[in-house]
Amino acid sequence: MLRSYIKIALRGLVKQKLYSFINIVGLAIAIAFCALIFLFVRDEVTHDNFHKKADQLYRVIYLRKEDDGSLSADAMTPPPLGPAFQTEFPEVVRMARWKKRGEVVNYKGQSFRESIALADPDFFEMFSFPLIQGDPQTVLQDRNSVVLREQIVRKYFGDKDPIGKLISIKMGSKFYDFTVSGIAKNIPGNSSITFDFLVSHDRIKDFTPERYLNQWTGSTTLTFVELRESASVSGLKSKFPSFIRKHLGSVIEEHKGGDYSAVQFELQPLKDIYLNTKMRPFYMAGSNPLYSYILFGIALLILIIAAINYTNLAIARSTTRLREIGVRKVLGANKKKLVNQFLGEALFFGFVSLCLGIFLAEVFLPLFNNFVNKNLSMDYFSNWTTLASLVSLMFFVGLISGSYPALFLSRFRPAEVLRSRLKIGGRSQFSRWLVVVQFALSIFLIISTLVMTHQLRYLRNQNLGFRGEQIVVIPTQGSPQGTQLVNRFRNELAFHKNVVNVSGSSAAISNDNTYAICPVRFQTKQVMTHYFFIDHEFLKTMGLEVIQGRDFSRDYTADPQQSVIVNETLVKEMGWDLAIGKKIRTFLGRKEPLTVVGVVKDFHFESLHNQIQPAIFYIEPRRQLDFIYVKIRPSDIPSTLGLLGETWKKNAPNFPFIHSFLDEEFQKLYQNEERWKTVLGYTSVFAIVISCLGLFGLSALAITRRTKEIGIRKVLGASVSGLVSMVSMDFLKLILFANIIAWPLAYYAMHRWLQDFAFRIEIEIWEFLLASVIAAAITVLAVSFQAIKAALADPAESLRYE
Amino acid sequence: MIKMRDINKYYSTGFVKTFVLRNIDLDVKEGEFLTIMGPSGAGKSTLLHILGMLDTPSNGEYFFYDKPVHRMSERQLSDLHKNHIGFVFQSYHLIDDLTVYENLETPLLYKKVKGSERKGKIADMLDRFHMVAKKNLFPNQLSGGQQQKVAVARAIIIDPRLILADEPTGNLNTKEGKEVMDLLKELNENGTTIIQVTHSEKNAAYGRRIINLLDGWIVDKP
Repeated sequence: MLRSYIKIALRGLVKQKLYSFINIVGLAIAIAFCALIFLFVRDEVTHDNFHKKADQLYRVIYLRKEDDGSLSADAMTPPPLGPAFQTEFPEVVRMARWKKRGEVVNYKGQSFRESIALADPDFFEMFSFPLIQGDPQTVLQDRNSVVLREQIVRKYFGDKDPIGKLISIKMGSKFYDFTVSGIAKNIPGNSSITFDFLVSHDRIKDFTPERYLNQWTGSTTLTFVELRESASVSGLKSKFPSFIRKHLGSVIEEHKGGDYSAVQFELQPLKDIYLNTKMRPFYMAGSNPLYSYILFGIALLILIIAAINYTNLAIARSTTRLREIGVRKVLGANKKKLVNQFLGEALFFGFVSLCLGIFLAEVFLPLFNNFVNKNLSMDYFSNWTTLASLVSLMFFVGLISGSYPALFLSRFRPAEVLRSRLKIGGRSQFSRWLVVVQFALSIFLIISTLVMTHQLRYLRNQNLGFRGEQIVVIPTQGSPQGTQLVNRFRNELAFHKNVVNVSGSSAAISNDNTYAICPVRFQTKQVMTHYFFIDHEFLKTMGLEVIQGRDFSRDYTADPQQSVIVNETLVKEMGWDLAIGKKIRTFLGRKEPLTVVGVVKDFHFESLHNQIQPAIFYIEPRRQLDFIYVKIRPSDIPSTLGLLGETWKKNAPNFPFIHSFLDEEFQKLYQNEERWKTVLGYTSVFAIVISCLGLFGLSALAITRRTKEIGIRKVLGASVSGLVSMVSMDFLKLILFANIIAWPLAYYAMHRWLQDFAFRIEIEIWEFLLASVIAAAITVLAVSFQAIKAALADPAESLRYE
Repeated sequence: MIKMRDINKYYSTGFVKTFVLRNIDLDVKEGEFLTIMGPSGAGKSTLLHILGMLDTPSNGEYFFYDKPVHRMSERQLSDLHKNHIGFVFQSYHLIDDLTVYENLETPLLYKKVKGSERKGKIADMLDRFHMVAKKNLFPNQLSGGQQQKVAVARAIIIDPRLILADEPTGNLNTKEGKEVMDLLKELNENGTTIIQVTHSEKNAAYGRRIINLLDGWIVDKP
């Protein structure tokens, strides 16, 4: 019996090539899409689950009461907290504090900027990061040892054994020699804790003053604790108040007026860290789960749409199969057998689609990895959930798509079928609404993609107030001679034909998370202001225009430490008519107030998510400059960059030469948005393709139903073009409905999205019209293919059996 | 074998009932060769379909071997006709996607006949109808007469007690038609009950009893 069904299904597949193609391709695309999204979502929700002790590991959270009475949570904790937890609470078996910083590493004349992690010795006992070499218990005991990640070993040592070798790492202001004591396996992609170089947490002393290390008020490190397997979390938490009274009592009495609820601790399970968006991640990776939900929702929708498309096609095709069903009933098939046959067929299609879908998923996986920035793989055998979900995907698709045709087709009385008295489904309102929903989704996605593209292009082309493509930024990487480096660069390059100017600044221009903000007071008014330490050349190098007063100049000895240049926005906020000569007070400078000597035209020093903020510019010779800004001429850029590299090597041989163009730095601030635009763009292509297939099926159904009508109309003298437009109009009405649904939703969603940008485009009507035209054009194409075929057919053919 | 009492069949369209069959009383004995005649639209095919349990009467009683068909579930009905009734249609109704061999096999599969026995029966049938060479062809590769022979073979492969034939020669030429009718006659002589619907006086002559239908009523004279 089964063999007979398979034969029928296979022969049907070969005979009805077009239908089979549409069915299989539609389902395969949907399955491929779902498989990729599944990998993505699984990776997101199972972050950090691979640690054997994952359920016993917690991060300590520090909650403080703000002035307005609300509690703010922060993952940063005071350094003495971890050791105190371990000694005072029997529930805490182990603890490891965790911190990361960017530092320069030197080995055999090479130097690179690397991320250096610090952890307490128990780190490898708590977290499941297997060591290729080294003993997890002792590998971090010595404060001069370093553990390297597999890949880093290859970078510095090639194939040679690094154990026992010395490698020089800068900590704070000095270089220290570290002995390689262990090699860690490469870290899985779904770990929110990652490291390249790992040294003892004790090294925090190298760059943090002693007084901060032992106090309970300053938070500088993360604290992880491992609880005893049987430990009760709530029991442990109940001991926190007395712990806080003991260690923080004096601080609370002094600063919070004895309000002991002003400081609290919380334990955050390790597994919850990654998708928690409320706290800044600090030294760990984090992600917004909203993206997972949205993607998962779209994937599910696409899958259901593809499955229901199959249903529509199966019903459309059923006219040719009704006779088979009738005959089978006459020959003794009961309803159950027929249902099984049709479900089996759908599962068969599901299986073929699954194979093709897996193939497609494999083909698109590298591309997908590229734009979700992950390293996902179809691990069929190493992770049982992959295979299980693929198989259940097939059954889901098979059952959803097969059940309606199965029940619909097996229901008929054979006598009706065999005398072809039967009319195939009336005007199925259900499948028509389905097309509306599909197209609404497609139109929504197209509009969103267009608006996002438009906004991102606007951001790229927005005048930032300077020519970013001509300014090279070179970070001095905490070199103790930052200012000296800037001066040497200037002296050596001053007369080069391709270098216009060299200057330095303390803070990066192109940074949304700057902490360089301070209150500026004028009389009774106070404005929170960004501050930049710069040198005399900065405004000239950046090409910024001074609109009142003057630029800093070496002719005025009072400029350093006594004068300040402000931006237009600050002038506006202060409400000054004339800024020059105003005396302002800040924490900068000496006790004397600072005199405003110039006003610079507003320019963007943050991403366009934000309005231009008030800013002041100040020369402080005691402060090292952190960035060298070089303005170059746009001709022969490679050789100019080569020159900069040589100059760097000569003056800072222990530090790697890192450089970028300022406009690139600004683009990096929109990486997330760029990525989501790409994801949406691809998704809309998927959605359109599948909607088209659905439309194709539905028009086939409609035309089958109207074959006789078309035949009669033709006999009565209708033209082919008239018939085609008659049929197409029917579907264009559906597209109109889809637009009515999609437009407001897209407008709302994009309006919300744009609120994230202080500088944004107006949503324009052409974006909506274009999306609708695309949808309509696709509709006409898909429908007319069938309509023309029906209209060209000989009417005698369609009327013969009536 | 068959006893029908006061069978009516009508379709309700709006407030009007359109009758297809009215007050049909019919008895058929085992081994009979019955012909149902009548003009188009008289209800011949409907009566045949009701006899074959492909359709249900609107009301009335129908006993098959004294069992009340009108009270049976779908499963019982399907058991009855897969074991006892064979059908032959005017337009053959072979399954297009199956070969001659597979078409013959299908009713046996539904009857759950074992593999070896199935092969034997199909081989007998092919042999008897001189179709061995054509067993791997699809229906559309055969002439009308050949297709109808396959349809008859398929109908009798389950050794039915009753064969229902709906204008079995309607789409055939004279020679093919005669062959099929001779076949039916031979089956009848071996004890199979046959009920046929036909327009043709010549075919009707094969039968031993004729009933005439007119506008849904059984009438004495056409």
